[in-house]
Amino acid sequence: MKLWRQRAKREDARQPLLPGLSAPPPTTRRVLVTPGEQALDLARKRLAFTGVMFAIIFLVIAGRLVDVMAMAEGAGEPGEPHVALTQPGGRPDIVDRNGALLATSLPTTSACAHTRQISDPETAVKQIASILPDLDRKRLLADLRGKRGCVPVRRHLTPNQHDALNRIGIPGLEFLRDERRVYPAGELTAHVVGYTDIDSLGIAGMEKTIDRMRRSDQSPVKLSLDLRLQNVLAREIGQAMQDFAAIGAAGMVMDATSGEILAMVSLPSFDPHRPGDAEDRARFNNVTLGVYEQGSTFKTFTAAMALNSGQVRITDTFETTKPLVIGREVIHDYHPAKHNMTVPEIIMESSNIGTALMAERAGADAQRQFLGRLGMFEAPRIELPETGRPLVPPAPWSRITSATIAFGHGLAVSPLQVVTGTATLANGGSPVTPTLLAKSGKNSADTRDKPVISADTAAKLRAMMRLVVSDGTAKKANVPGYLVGGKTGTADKNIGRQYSSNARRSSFIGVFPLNKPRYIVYAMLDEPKGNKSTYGFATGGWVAAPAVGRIIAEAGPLLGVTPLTPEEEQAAEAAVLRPLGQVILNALHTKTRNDQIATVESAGEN
Amino acid sequence: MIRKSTLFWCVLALGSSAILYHTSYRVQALQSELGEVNAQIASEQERIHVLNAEWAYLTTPARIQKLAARHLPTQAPAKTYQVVSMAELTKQLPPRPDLAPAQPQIMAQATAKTAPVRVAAVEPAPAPVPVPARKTPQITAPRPATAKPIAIAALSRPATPPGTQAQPIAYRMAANTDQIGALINALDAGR
Repeated sequence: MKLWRQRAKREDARQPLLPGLSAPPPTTRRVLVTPGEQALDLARKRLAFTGVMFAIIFLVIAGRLVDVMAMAEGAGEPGEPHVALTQPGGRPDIVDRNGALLATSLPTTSACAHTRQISDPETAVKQIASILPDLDRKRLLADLRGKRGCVPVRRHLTPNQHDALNRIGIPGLEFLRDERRVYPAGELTAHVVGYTDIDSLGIAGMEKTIDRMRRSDQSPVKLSLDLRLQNVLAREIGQAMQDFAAIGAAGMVMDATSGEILAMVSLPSFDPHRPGDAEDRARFNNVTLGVYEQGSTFKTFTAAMALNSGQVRITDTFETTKPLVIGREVIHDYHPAKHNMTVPEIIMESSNIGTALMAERAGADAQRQFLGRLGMFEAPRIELPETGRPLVPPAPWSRITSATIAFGHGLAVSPLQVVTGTATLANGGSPVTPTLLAKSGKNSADTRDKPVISADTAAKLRAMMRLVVSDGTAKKANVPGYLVGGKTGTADKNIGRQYSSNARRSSFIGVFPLNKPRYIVYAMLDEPKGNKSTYGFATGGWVAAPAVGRIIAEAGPLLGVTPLTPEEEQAAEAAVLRPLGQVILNALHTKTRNDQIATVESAGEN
Repeated sequence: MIRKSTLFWCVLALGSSAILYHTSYRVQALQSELGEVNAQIASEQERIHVLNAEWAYLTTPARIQKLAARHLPTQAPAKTYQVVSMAELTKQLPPRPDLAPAQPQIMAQATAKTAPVRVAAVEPAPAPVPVPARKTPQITAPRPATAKPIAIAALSRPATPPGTQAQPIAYRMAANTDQIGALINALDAGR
């Protein structure tokens, strides 16, 4: 500014004075006259303004530089990591309820060959075949000659194969990163976890359900299974299958309060890494997909229905001494009774005649309605794609249909449905939805649905289930310390249109601890044959009930069920049996004494 | 002629550009280091994942069962009668030897399942005996001469005369397990 003023002063000094003026004009002239001077002035002003702007900007930059350099030494905590730290591959792991790994993806390498870059296909194929002996040479040769792009050579190479193929040095051979699904537990959880195809897409079991669920996050899928219980179940049922030369078996452990399935086993099982090598029979899930006539395990449903309807009282007796004739059909008991039985005795000794009469008194409509509420007429809702639709005779049911359904023939359901139905009855009547996904704890008492039976009926049913184990057909399932109850079932198999007398499905469904029912344990054997230790019998009480007893004895401490001392057990049993009434209990005591005098063979029952 | 102001601004520009490029190169170096570290983290995570899968294979119940049968043949899955509540536990334990020996009522309440416990036939001590508050049984517990002595003869320790203050023997982990075995046998025999 000073320079500019000085320059203006000098220019002023050179101007000639206007004629007629005595004194020179003032030295700094503020008024600009000529347009040239005005333009110059404007230019100088603009230059100054721009200069000031730049100066400000550079000052700001300098200040920020100083700021960043000097202040950044004590920078705070580091920010978020820039790499998204996810698992290799996008498919989530499957774990059991305790976190044990059931399925995971491992990174592998796959080889493909660029057709354009391989000049000599025959040599290349020969070299590759020397490393991979089971290579399809003809197909690869045809591909290398005909196709374009990168043709697949082998999926999921082992690291040694990868190394060897790399060393050959074929220029067109490319190695891509791939992933492959592995199942650490193997055939122990094969039916529940399922398997995938070569591209890691689920095609059976929970693997398929995960794809259907299309979850957004990659956190592990937590199943309700407990791997330890699964092992116990598989071991005991496998042992029973071997001991009695059965052709198949099924087992389940369910939490009756929450519906979580703690163990599910179907034998024979298969290796999920090679599902194609397994037989169809091995991949068939006997628990959820197979529908069978369940036999006497259905009698608990009939008894609950009859008592709940009010048509039948616990002290009612039925004529069980003679076979029941309905039209052309005759219903027998496995062990014909010598006296008319009360309702508890019918369940305890598993009488077909008595159950049919109970159902008749309650009515076929009430029976159908009740079984529908228990979920016997639809395929079970569970997170596996392999579920079987039950075979149900069309309504209205004739007298013989109603009678046979009462003791478990004439209607085919899957074992899962029987276990779910028994769980519903055992926990006091609140409907149970089976699930294979772990539930987060405390919301198991979700009693929004109306109970299926009254509390009084539930108590009487529990008492009858205890009688089956303490004095009835399933004495071998008893475990001291746990109050075990349940129902045996032996269903003759259909061969064509006839019932075979030599082939049966023997099962036992157990509930424990009965003072506070929590867990259901189920075991079924397909075509067991009696051996010496069972005196040739192969009914539920002889082959399935002992296995369930052993499972409960080992699973109880694992599940954290506190065993009762002998005194506590006696008191608890008395409390459980009290709803039957004193009359019945007295009669039972007499009967038990008489039975003890009689032969041991009364333990084998339908 | 270069004016002073021009020189000043030139020097300032050069300095600031030097600082700028220096910072830029440092940032680039740090970024590449960050990329390397992230890649290392990713590969370590993959290794951990593979190791987890291997661990799961090695701890399948079938394999553990086989190993247990081979290396721990005496251990079996817990039986129901091995799980007791605290109240039951106190009923089934043998009595503490440093307490007053008059505990017969507890023996009577023991259930039939427990092994019969022998009650030490000790008369009540006539004179007050200085019993220390320690729970572990004393080897040189001073007992009056009238009472039947607890048989710990396996340990050659002279019994202190009655009346003297017994020195608690500091327990040392005996390298010789025979000593511990003998001690346990002796304590068991004395109950």
